[in-house]
Amino acid sequence: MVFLSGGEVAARGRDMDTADLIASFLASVLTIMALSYLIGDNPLFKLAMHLLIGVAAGYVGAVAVHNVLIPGLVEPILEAGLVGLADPQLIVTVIVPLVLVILLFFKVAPSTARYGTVSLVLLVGVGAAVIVGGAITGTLIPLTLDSMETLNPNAVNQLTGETGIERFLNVIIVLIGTLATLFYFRFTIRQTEEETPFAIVAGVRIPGPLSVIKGIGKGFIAVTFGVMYAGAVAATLIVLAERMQFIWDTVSGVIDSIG
Amino acid sequence: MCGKPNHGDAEECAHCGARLKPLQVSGASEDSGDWLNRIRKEAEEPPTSADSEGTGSEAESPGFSEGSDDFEIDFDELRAAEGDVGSYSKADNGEKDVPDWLQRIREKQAEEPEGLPISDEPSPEDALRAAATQAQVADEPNDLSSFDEPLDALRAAAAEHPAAEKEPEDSTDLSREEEFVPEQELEPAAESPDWLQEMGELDADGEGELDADGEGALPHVPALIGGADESADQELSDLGLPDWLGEIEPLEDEPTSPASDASTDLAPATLPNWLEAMRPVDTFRSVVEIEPEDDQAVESVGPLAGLSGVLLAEPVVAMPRTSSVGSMQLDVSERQYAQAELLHRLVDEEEQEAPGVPKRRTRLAVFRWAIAAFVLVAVSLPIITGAPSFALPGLEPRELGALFRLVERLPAEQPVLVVFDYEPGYAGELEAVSGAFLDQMMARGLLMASMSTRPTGSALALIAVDPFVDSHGYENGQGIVHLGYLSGGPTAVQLFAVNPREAVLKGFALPEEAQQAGLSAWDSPVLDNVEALSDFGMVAVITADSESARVWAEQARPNMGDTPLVVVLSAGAEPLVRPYFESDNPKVGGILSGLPAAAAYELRNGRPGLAQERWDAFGAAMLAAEIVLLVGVGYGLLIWWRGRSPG
Repeated sequence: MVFLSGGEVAARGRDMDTADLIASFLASVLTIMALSYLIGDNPLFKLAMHLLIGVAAGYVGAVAVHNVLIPGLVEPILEAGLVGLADPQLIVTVIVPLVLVILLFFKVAPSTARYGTVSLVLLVGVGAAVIVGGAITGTLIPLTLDSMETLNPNAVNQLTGETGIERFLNVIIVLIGTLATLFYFRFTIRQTEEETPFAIVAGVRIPGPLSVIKGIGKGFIAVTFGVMYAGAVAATLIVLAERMQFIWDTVSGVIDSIG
Repeated sequence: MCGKPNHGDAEECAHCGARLKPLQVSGASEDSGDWLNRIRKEAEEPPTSADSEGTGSEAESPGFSEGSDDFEIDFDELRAAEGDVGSYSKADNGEKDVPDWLQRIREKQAEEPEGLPISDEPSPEDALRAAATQAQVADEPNDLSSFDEPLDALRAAAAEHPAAEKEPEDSTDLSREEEFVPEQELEPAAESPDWLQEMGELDADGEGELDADGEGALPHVPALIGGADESADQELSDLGLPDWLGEIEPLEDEPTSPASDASTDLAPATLPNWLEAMRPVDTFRSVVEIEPEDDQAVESVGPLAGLSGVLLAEPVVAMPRTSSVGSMQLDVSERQYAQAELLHRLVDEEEQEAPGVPKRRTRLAVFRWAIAAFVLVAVSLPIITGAPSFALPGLEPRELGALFRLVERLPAEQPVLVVFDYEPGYAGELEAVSGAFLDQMMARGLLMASMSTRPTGSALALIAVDPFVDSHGYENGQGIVHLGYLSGGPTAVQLFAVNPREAVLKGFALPEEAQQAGLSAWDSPVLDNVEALSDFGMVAVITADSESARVWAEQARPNMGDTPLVVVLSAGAEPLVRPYFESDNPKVGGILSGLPAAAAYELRNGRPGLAQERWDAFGAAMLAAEIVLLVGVGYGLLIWWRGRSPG
């Protein structure tokens, strides 16, 4: 086994200090260009976006060729040679996928697009089967069973350590939130039933129990979206802090190198 | 009428006898004198042998003559036929040198003075014809002499048949003709002299009599006379027509009698295939419907006046009708009509002048710029000046302890698989959040393998572990190896869970020596004992969205055995992944989310990292965001309160 040692990697990193500085400077400029969207859509922002999309597309293409196509299709055929092409295992694992890939290329032209339908059907069908099967066996059934078991106040959560009344209250809140959210989406309530008030006292409409449950579900949904939005804002602020730190480090590095 | 070719100068069709040029009454009486003299001369001359033998048609039809110029003579014959219709026979022609009709002509000529006085007043027939052809007749004087003799003959016939005057007036052609003639043209007739009035009565009586006589009711028209066709053939030969035209043989059953017989013997017209193919079908509709023969009207004007079974000139030429050219009958459905109306309305709206839109005042995004500047300043101040400074979190999330303990208990001989499933845009957050986690594992010297289901994830893995490689003495390929990009999404994750070595074939960023030797990442000592996913000591998924975490929990977890699954999340994705962690049989064995948890993790590690480095900036930014939110809520309440206040 011949791999680079840590010293060699470090030496290579030192050689690229100047290159890293230039790259950091360009990255800082592109960051400022992207932030210029603050004053509205402008050519600098568009240039930064075009560069991002173009570089990303080129990089993805290169990765796909070097990490997927060459080791998966080209090298096995070259290693097997013409004689090895008749190998049933090679046919199943390489030739058939290669034919499907070639058929998929026909999708680029509308006149020949129907020939690529076989590959597309295989992709979509297998993908859908995997996702649906995984969702049922990995999420729906296990989490439903676990939710029923959590009603036991004597049970102790292995990871969080919740037990006793705390766990019971937590489970009740989860149960109410789940049912109320389902009620809110009207899976079982007709429109006419929920509009009927439970009573009218002194001209005040007292909503029925179903409408109350619906309101609770609405509240749970609002809280959930609020938490998710707060998390997104927090994540964005962390990214902004990282970018500002990066720009400051770059400016400091440039100033130090000049000085 | 028949469509056959004729000579350019021919006034009448040589085949059917139809008039090709409008009838122009010549004022020169000399012309009529010539042909009349010629006829007289022929009548006085004894018949030659050729004439006596003649063609069958000529002999059997005494009233038929060769030339089309004999039109007037036919009238005379008609007059003679009024006395003894059908008295002519072939034997009679042979016995008499001079036919009766000619004898009658001579008798009348003897009774009348030579040369009829040319009257300036138009005859009734001329008046009717002039109504039809005003333009032509207006330029030339009327040739009344050509009709004098027929009129006289009609007078004589009236005298011979006085009983006909008592017959009721039938709907004759002349009576119909009056319906088409404008009143101003009929007025002169009211002022006509006595002879003309007498002539009008005579005509009415004569018509009724002619109708009663059957065949004799039809006037002599060359178009319905077989002899005219023969004479026309001779004229065609004289015109020097091409040979192919001369080869056309006449029909065997040529009509020798008027229209009733001719219509039954006519061969149906056929069109060649190419012409039939070009003929429009259901596009152009004929204006004039061909009526049954019984219902056919009688021509009232023109040279064919009085004839039935002919194409009516007046309704076709002069009557207002829908143009047959381009009269396409469009089958318009309601939808097409609605679309046409819509298009029409759109066009109308386009023609209308749109009201001027007042220019909106360009409003500067003052609020947006102010908020952005406020947040940027809040974030930059701790980075540049180091102030304000915020205290590190004293409390840590409950799940952090479980994760920390899990990492601490991992076996050193089993590698840890770290999946970097996030895009470059989230690198700033997830590098800081996962830094302490990676630091703990690499501080323990655990073998590590990185992978990603996103093409850019492999490069992000290099960046994420790079700060700890040197600090903890890791070597590429020795302590850590990068498997690279796993293409295929959820399907590939399942395939990788079942057989990792077939899912990832090569590796990413392998040492050059290993690449030159043709080695893959699986040849690295890090993955020597790994044949399945359960051979890893732990699988950690660093992701920014809950979907990727759910895919690994659903697709890979069933094949992981006792190997724990840990998720390092962005703060926004945590609520959707937490149920997998808090259930009694957790799919996720550990969860790390958010910068506060990462800062607390670093505190546990005892080594500051990116989380603590950005903690002040993050704190200032969060404070600024909270202030902005509070100001916004206050501004909204103020607007709401001002809207409710009566003032």
